[in-house]
Amino acid sequence: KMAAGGGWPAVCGKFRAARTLSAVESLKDPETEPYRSKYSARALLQEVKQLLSAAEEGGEERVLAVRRAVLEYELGVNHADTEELSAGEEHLQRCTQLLEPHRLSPDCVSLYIQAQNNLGILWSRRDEIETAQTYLESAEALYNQYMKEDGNPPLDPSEHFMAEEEKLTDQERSKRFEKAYTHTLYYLAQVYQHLDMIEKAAQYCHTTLKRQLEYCGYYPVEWARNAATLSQYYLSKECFMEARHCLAAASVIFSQAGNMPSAEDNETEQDQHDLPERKAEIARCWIKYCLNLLQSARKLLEDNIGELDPDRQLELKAQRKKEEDEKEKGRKKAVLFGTSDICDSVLAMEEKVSSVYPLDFQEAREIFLVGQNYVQEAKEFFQVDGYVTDHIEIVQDHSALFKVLAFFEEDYERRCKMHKRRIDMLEPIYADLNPQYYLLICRQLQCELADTYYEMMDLKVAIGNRLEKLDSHTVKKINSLAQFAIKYYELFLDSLRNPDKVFPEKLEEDVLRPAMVAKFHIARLYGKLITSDGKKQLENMQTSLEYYTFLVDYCEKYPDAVPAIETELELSKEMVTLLPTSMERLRAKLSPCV
Amino acid sequence: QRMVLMDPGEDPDDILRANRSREKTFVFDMVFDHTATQEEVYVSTTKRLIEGVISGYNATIFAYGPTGTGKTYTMLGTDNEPGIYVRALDDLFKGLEATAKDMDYTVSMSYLEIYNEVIRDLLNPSSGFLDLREDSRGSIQIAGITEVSTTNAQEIMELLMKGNKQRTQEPTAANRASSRSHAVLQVTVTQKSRRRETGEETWIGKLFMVDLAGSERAAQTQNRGKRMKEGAHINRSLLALGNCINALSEKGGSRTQFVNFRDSKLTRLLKDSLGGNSRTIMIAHISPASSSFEESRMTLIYAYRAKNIKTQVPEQI
Repeated sequence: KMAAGGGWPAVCGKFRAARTLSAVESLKDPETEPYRSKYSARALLQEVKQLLSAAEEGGEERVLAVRRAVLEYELGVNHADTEELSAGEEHLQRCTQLLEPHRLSPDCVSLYIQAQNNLGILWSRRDEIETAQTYLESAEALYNQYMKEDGNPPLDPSEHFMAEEEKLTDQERSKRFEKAYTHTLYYLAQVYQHLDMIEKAAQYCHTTLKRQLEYCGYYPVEWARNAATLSQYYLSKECFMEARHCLAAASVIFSQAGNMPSAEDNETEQDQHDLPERKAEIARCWIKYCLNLLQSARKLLEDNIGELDPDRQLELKAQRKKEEDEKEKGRKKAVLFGTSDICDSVLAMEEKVSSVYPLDFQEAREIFLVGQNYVQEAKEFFQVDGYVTDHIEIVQDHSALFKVLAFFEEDYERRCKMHKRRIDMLEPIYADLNPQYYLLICRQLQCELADTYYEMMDLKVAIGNRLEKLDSHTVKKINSLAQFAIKYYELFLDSLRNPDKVFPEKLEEDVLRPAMVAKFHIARLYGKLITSDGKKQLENMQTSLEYYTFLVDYCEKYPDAVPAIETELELSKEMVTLLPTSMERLRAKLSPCV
Repeated sequence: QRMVLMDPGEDPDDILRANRSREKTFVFDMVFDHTATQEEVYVSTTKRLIEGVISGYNATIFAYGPTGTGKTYTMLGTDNEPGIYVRALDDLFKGLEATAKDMDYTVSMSYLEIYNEVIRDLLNPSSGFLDLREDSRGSIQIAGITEVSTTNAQEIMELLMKGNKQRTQEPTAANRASSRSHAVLQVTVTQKSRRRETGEETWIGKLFMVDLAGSERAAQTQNRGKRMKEGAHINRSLLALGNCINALSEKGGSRTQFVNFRDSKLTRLLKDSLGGNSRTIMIAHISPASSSFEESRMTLIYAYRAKNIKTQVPEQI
């Protein structure tokens, strides 16, 4: 027990006053004296330290050592906060030294871990990230060892300066202990990221999120956003199951916002104001999920001309049957979000959409429909007026959903209809856009519209080829589609001209391939136009030749352009030799008397 | 021009650290020391951009660096030593006047703050928080912001000084994540040709002059866009978990694969300047004090990397 001089309660009072100064008062310190409260806190802590040393003879060695360790910890953090890293390090090291022999016992383990957390942070501020890593990994190991060997809620460090009746419940102790460990994992996530160990960093972020739900308290909106962001990382690694889980949890937790008081401060007015936008953002992540899943499936299923390969399809279906069992086992090992109350809701959300590759039209369509629903949801907030860029990106995603669905559709007419939907959604937006401000988006839309019309034309030609004879309706359709494609390719090429309307001599790297493809497609389109007028046909062939020639000439002048358009160049060279001959023949036919 | 950042911790007798000197040489387009005047800094950095704005290009100037290194002095200045804001506007008006025979022009400016992802009109702070909106006609608009159309430099200076006092003050608590104030002066120049031959052609040039928030806690800000790795500092607060997660997807993967909804308000507002349609100048500020060594090092590394971002300048017609 303590010697006289106010007694133990007075000491505790000083200690608590120091902590209040550090945590609360310091937030009000003026800009000119930002560490005023921290310095005052430090003085108090030094006083407590003195008082403890005075009592050394009377007390239990162990108890005193731990109390001293608490002080060293507080002083260490205090010095680090006031940018005195060396002093901070000294105190923190002394803390861990004092605790070393007892670090796995309930009265010491939490403090030890927190000291190591802070040493990790300290070393990171010196840019010695590997040293930070060793401290944090050591803390992680200690937690795991403690939980394995003991597991009872350990004392919170603040309890060493509390009266008996003030001591915390087991529940509160556990909460604080787990919070400290969550921070260990969070700091490690950052460390791994700096060390470029991205997969590990993702794993630790995931675990941190999970623990926030279980132990730490969280802002539902912020948590949902983070989970949705993490899903994008998983998408980049094609881990669709994990991505879906993150998104499902994000949706479920988000719905809690505004309904229940969050575990920490109340959400601000600004947060409430932003809710519709946040909801729409999560919807956009879901769109990307559906789109990526469909596109990845396509990559697996397509043959070398971009059509669905039935053999691959059978292969993958057989393989999937086999994997179904293994997936279940994998599921159980995965890091799942959710305390029992949200677990079911998350599961329910997950059941609305598949996380395995769709292998036929039916399966693809289901995923498409989910994506389409989220498109509508996202557009509710991201309307054209006010959020042009976002709105357009969403529509582009919608168009991409149709495009990838068309891949799975066998019937050419129905495919055409899907591409028509794309035209219908993109054309009006393009028409309204001011190219002065939205140059890049305009170009994207021009290319996409052109490519879509081009695709539709090709489909109509294929449909036409199956008929006995090409009827005038189909001919009109083919020509119309071709003309539209040409129109948009030309618009794109025009967008590359300088203010004096001159086409650039040399094309910039980022527009090289699209520009060349545009020229190539225009050449081909003029070749596809159907006319019974011989003179017109000759004109078309001439135009076609000019465009093929442009490609060939450009690549001769700028040989480094060749890798970007090898296939198109090959074909262009062929056409440049073949076309003049065909044209001669046609000319001869048209004017027999010479 | 070269500059050398010397390591104050260097001890010639320290054998352990002998090979770990952190002295570093940096090369920038221009380097100014304490003898440089406001005029010099303006002429060497910003003056040339003004002609561009008159021709219909966009231009952006950033003042970057930790608190206390003089960003506001560079941008705003004082009554006796006006900074870049006023000098730029002055030159802009003179330049426009010279074309006044052939062109009709209007100039408007607005002065705003982005603090903690919230936009405030510094010329009318009582209007509360403003929203960023985009419409299909033009670029980003800020709904409800005050637009001033004056050519009087004195008047402008007064407005800006008053506006600057309205910037959000905040305690320097180490636990707060992302709470920093950026000040943006936005000048829009609209010109219409008077000559009948050129028809209805309109040139619109935008000039952004940005006094960035103090970079000393750069690792804690929520700014994304072209964010670079700002040192290996571990962020204490779980509030920055989002940044950490966001950065996971940074490497690889095409832009179209992901929703980039974490773009900050500042990034959206200055969309064209960051890798797009604009001429951009960044003026990095550092303190001469040896106690600021770490901060200075981070600032210079950041600035050096920023140098290598290429921007494309297709003219806006």
